[in-house]
Amino acid sequence: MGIRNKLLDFKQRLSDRHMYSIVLVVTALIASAGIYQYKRALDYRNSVENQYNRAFHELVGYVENIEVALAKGMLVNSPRQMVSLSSEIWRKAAFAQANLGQLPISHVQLDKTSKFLTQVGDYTYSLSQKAMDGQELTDEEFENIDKLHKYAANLSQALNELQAEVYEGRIKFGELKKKGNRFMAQASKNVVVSKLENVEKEFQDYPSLIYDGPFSDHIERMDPRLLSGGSEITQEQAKEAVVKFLGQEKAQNIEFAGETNGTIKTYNFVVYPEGQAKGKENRRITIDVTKVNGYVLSMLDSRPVQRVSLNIEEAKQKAKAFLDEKGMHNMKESYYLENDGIAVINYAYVQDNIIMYPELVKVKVALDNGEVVGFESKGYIMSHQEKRELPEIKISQEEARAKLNKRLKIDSIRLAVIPLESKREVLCYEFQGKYGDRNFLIYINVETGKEEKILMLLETPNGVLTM
Amino acid sequence: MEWTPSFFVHIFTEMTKNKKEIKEVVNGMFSYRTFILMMIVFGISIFIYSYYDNSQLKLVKHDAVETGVRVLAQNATRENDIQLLARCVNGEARGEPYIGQVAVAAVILNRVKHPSFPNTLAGVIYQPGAFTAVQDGQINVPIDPNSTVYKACTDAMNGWDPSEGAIYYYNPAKTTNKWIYSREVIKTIGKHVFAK
Repeated sequence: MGIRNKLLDFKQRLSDRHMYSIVLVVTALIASAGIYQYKRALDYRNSVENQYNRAFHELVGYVENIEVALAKGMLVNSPRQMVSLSSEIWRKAAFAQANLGQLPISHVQLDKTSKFLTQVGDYTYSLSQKAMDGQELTDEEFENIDKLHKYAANLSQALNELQAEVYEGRIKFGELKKKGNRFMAQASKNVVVSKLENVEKEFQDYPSLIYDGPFSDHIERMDPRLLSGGSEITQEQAKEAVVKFLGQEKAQNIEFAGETNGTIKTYNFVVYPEGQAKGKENRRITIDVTKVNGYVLSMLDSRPVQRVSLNIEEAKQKAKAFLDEKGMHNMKESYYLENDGIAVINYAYVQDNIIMYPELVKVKVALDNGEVVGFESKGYIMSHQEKRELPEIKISQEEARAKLNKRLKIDSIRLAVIPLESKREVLCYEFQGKYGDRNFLIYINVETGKEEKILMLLETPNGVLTM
Repeated sequence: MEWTPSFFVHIFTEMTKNKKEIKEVVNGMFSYRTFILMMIVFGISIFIYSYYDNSQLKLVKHDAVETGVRVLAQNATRENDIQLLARCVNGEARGEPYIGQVAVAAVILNRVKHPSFPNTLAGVIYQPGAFTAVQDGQINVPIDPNSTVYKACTDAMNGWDPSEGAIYYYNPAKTTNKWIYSREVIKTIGKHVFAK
């Protein structure tokens, strides 16, 4: 039967009374399915809208609380009061930030608000740490609190205005996400964006705080110690460094891949040991060489590992030999991880039997032939010193031991320099001990006797991790 | 006669008793054949709905069980973090060279540490508008721990950062956001420009 006939037949059938009812029924089914889906979509939209509203209203509440608490902070006298107040601010700043992150507003518009909240949290956290040691606040710190309070007050006011708009139904957060109704979305978006941009403008001139808390701005500005005073090398010299690092045999088809303009400036190369191919499957080694002094900052080899034949001890030996060959002596392995036939082993520099955790080098060893397939030395380059000036030990081992919780069963003690969040480095006694069936590391400052850090060791089948 | 459920029940019971009688009942509106056809269409649509719902349920269940078992056997937080990271990177940088995938993962991890962004991995990844892979649902595609993306994320977790501290990246051929060009560029890997 031809198509024409088929169509005619269909037309005839359609004119049949029975067929009409079928079409009617099918249409009804489709319509009901449509209504069902629409209802479901409406439900989802409402629940999303509710989520946004909850996040927003909670944000407003927390910022208000922070503002009030900062105002109180100006009047606090005793360190004990300060501890309770600043930990309250710290906690609320964290919640406020979490809620801010849930709003459907792009990060660009909230960049500074988010940063402000983090810094309020970090700053008050560092204050609470200080207060816990019984120290009173300096005038400068009170001034900082005052400044923060002013910004918090501005933010709080702007958010209150926005809240009023939300209550009046002029802003719907869900509409900010919606693409279909472009005009509506745009109108709503404009209100929110202009309001928030005003807040952001207020933050423009807000100074980066000078404090020692975690995540502070100055971390990025720290200069790599190993590169200070060095001389810049050329791209050709960097290429030679690559050949020297990988060995003649592997360093074939070296291609310059650009420069990196980060904290540590580097030349980047890609090496194709098996010949250059267009496809991505071919083995390639990426390697970054510092512009100053020509150290290898990182190396990654994409070679997959087929059959595992080495154990972790053999891998450690290979990695150690590799480091010695590269002129990195006195390195001691700390932790390792094993994954997919590759072991990642951490090494730290040792000076006079003191382990320097900030000076970290990571080596990836393939467990089939012991080849080094990865190398990372940012920690080492950032903080290595051949002979480090160490503080005088004022607390004896016995005194430090007395500061530990009696429930810890101590297995070993040694000296170590550890990095803290603020990129400060402190010399500590490292106590390794057991509580229950878990291993812990506790660090006691040799100068002040302060408990700087407690780490829990997680022994997994793939290696030991700290938490 | 009303189209209530009890009416359908009535017809069904009648149908089992006597075909002819139903024919008489139904003939007032349309033929017996039409009625059967209608029932079949109705049944099929119910079947499709239930199958659709079930298949979604199965996906979720399978997912949870599969990763759950592995997670219990190993370090829970770490494995979960890598899985989440890998899902995001898979959607964002699937076609990129290995080093580019490590770099994208490193950018996400750098954001966790940065004051302008949320302080948790999930917070950063699910931040509204931050990653297209989250918006279009690619984030829900499970990643095999033996895949390249997963390995790239493991490397980033272990501290490799080819982006050198970047907190933004973009594809100059695709981006429509002018603001992003104002950020200081660190380097280019594959199709992505990394900036801070």
